[in-house]
Amino acid sequence: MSRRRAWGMGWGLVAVLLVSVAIAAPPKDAMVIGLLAEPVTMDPPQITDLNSTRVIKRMFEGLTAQELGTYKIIPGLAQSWDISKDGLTYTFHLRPNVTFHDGTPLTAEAVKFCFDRQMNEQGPFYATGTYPYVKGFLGNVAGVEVVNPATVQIRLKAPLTPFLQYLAHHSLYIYSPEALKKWGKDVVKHPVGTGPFKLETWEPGVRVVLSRNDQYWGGAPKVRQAIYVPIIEAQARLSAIKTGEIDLTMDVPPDSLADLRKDPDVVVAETNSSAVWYVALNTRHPALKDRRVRQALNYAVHKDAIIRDILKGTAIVATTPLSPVYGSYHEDKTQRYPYDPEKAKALLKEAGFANGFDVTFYVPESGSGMQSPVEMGTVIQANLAAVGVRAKIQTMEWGAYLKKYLDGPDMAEMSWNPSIGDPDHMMYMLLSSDRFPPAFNAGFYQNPRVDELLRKGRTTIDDKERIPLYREAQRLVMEDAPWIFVDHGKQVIVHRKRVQGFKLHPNFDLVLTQVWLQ
Amino acid sequence: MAAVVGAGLQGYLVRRILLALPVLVGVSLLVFGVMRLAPGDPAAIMLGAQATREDVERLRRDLGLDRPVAVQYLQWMGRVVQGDLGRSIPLGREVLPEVLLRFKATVVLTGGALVIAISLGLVAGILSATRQYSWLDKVSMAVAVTGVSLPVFWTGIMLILVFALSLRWFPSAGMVSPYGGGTGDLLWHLVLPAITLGTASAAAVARLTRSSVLEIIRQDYVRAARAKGLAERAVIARHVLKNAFNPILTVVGVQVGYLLGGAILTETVFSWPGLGSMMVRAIQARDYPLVQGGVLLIATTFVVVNLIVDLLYAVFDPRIRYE
Amino acid sequence: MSSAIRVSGAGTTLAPGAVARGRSSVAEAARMFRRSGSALFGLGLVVVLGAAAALAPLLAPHDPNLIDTARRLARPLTAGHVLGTDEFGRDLLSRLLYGARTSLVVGLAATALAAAAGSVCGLLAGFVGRWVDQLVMRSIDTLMAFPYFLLAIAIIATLGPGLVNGMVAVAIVNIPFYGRIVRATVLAVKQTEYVEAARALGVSELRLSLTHVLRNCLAPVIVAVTLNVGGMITALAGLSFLGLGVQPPTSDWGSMLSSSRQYMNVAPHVAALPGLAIFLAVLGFNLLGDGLRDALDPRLR
Repeated sequence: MSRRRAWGMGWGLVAVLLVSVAIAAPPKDAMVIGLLAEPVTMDPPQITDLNSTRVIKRMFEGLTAQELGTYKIIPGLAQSWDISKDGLTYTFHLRPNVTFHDGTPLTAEAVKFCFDRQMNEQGPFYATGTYPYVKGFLGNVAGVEVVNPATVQIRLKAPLTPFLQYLAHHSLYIYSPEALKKWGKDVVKHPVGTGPFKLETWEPGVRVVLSRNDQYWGGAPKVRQAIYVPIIEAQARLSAIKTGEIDLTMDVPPDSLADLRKDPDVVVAETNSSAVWYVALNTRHPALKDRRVRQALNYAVHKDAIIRDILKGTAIVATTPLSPVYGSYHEDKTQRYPYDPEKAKALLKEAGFANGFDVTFYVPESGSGMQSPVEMGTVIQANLAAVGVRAKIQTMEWGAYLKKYLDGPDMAEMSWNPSIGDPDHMMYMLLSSDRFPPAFNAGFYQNPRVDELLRKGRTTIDDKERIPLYREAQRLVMEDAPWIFVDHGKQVIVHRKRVQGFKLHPNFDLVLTQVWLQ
Repeated sequence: MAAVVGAGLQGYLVRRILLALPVLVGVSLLVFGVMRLAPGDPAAIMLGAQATREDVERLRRDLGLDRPVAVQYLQWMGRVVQGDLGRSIPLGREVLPEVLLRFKATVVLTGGALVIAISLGLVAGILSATRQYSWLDKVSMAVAVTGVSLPVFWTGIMLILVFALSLRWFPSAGMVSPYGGGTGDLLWHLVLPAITLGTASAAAVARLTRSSVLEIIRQDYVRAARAKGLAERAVIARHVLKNAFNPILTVVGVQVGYLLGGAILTETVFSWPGLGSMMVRAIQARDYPLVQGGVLLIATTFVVVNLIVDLLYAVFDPRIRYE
Repeated sequence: MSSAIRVSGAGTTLAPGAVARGRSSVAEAARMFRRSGSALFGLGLVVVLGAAAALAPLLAPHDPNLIDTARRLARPLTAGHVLGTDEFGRDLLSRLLYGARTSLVVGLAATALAAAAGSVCGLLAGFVGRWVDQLVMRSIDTLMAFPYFLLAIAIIATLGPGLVNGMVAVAIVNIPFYGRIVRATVLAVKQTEYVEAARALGVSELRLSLTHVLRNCLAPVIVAVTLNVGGMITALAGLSFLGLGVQPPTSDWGSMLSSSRQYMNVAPHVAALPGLAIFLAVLGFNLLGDGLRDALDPRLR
């Protein structure tokens, strides 16, 4: 081919490239959200990961909901409810004229269908999925009855105060029975709910496109399209938000926050969350079984330095398992463990470990909510070495790590980010002796008084009676120091200026219903 | 064996296919075995921290994981030959469409890298060989050995640092822009990853081409052709290239295998939605069906590519058909 | 990475024809080697890096694990830190020096392991022949058809992460490379008239193997090893890059590179330096390997 032809083709290619790039400029009523990972599945009862919830919570709703920005329970698909005196019967009055995205109406039958699918092992649709949360949230349910097309009744086996919070959990969201009947197992790709957005396309590994549901009962959202793209590398998320390629993202490298706060096109939104990051200590370990040793470890770790230098201020020191987000349930007057290596050494000596001891410290390479697990583990290791405790780090990838965590490790990192806003879900699940492994009290922590308080808290309905129970439990737990309490991670969301009206929610959800674009 | 199956090109092809089958079976056994040996239970991982032991047991039964390993293997292989690769454990979606989708992305990346590798590598190699010991040769080979020595993940990071973060000429991650965009958008995203992946390949191709061509140039008949007074270009075109075709084809075949298997690091660095990065996560989630299906697909592609290469050998060199 | 491996596998190692004529003196080979500027440069690099690794405790200005969170991500040429510090405030120069130990030792060990295991396979296949040969060759084909890096990752998933396990995984994946070379050499030796003649004279089969085959395998394997070490170092760094290799706080160039990605914007030197180290090590071995191959290959004389 002649030289001129080659040049012409070259320029032609460049032109095509430029034009294509120009065309891909952001439209005025659509926004792009960069997630850490793409959603795994879109069938609500099967979801266990945070990124899937961030997407499906735009498409589905539950009987109850959490008020945006707090853990307060407000009406969801049920506009009101009555609870019987004995706390065993909940009667829900459904919102009228609500339809699913496929046009079928929301009825009490549909609600019963959704619950039965998970609960009834002999049911015709049980085999269409796996339900990780059914035992935890519906284990106490005796039955679900249809009173009339607009009223559904749920009977419990025993009173359980957190139940209304459970109903706001994504695993109990309501979806269209017709869709499930039609798609069977493939319903994981075909979500049909009642929410303000519906699924337009899902290109696995590339993007999820949600479009506005104009028939939404609460009024159609102002954003027409929400596009979710997975960007696994923190560095890549940072560049994308700086160039405006995406409009909103999370978990950017903490070192870049100072720079981002100065950027006029970018808004850094922060708030406390209910997450707690800790190191579980095996209370059956020869050294760790002594409370003084565990307290010594808490004094030895320099939590402020970790928060300042590694997390760059995106967390607060954990002085109790329940972060301030829990409102009146958060106890402020607990035993504190400021950085004091001398005190740590003194306590170790008192307990008979003047020469320290050896311990294996398990650290996951990654994991949802684990912040910077390897870095934090490294600093903790160094802090402990300074007081004579020789911790040998063993990293594992998340899959193997979870198994190890429930297998009685000496020391292991963990982070708990409950989306249930009830203190029971944090304290009972992690610190009650009812929850020894294979449940989540991995260190076999046991305090009879704490057990008593937590069990009572599960069935006490009145806040005035409940709050003192949890407060006392927190004080006791902090004295016993079954964990090295490190921090409550803050939620840090970075978004472009043009995203207006965005408000953070304590359970890490990204709510878009009230958002508009400038 | 030639007498049994028949001579000629067809027979050769059939013989090659028959030899390839045990390899695929071997790969299936290997991936099945290694995954089963790894500690960690896919059911427990999938159900997460809050599951009870009964839940995990029930899921294991549903997934057929409680049956003896040999039975599981036979059942899986039985379904594979019918085209059913099963369902991914955590995703609940069918393996084959998932794997094919991500495979497309890896093929795009590998294709781009291969284009760079072949165009740069062949040209550099031939030029170097024909101008042996000239400064062009020396520079070219120095660049080539450098390219072969660069760790692919470092190259990627450095390219991102310079061209994406500092100069902002190219995007730093992903295969397409969030709002979509056509081929131009894809190509724009492809540039840096393809250069990253293709550099080492290009260098390897250049070095190999150079030594292959050199070998041929030294042969007597080429000297004879030169002595006869044929123009240099004609000598190259007619004799050298035709005979260098074989080793060059080998290189290309090997590079395809390397690129397919080695794209993982590039995909990780650039968040390219390819098969490699999906496989890493699947291994960590102990997603047996997905890992097995993905590995089988890659191995089959590798085997097919090698078959094609072997076939092309036989087309150009009839002696080989009788092996 | 495996490009170094594949490069050699496709025919730039010694041709089997080199076997019978491999009686050239060592002095001749050394002379050829010395004439090549790039080979000497490669040797120099390897020696320097080896010395740096061996003398790390003496050369390192700081303890590589000393955490100083106040001085994180310091630029090169700040007080006390010639190359700057990483995200924990640890001195980069010290970490690079100690990292050299890890990377070089494990890289060489993995290569030795692969060479040994692969050679045994190749010897078995070439010598015993028939179905053993077929079995070994099919197994090698299977290993090669398996995506290279995935196999290493799957093996690590089985064994657990760690330096030694990473070494084993990478070694296993590279066995086919040596197996093929040794087998080809053995087959070539078996065919030469030299061996026929010796057999005619009544020399026993076993003596044949020890004296002739091994001596003739030596050169190709040495060349293969030097060309392969670079690839092994990179592969191990790649595994550490994915978080599957060394455990903290051990320094290793690959994991240093991986953790540096988050800080690329603020501190590019933390990303540039470890990668540069890997590159120089691999370059050194590749140049050395090229030089050795050219020196030992009689065809080029």
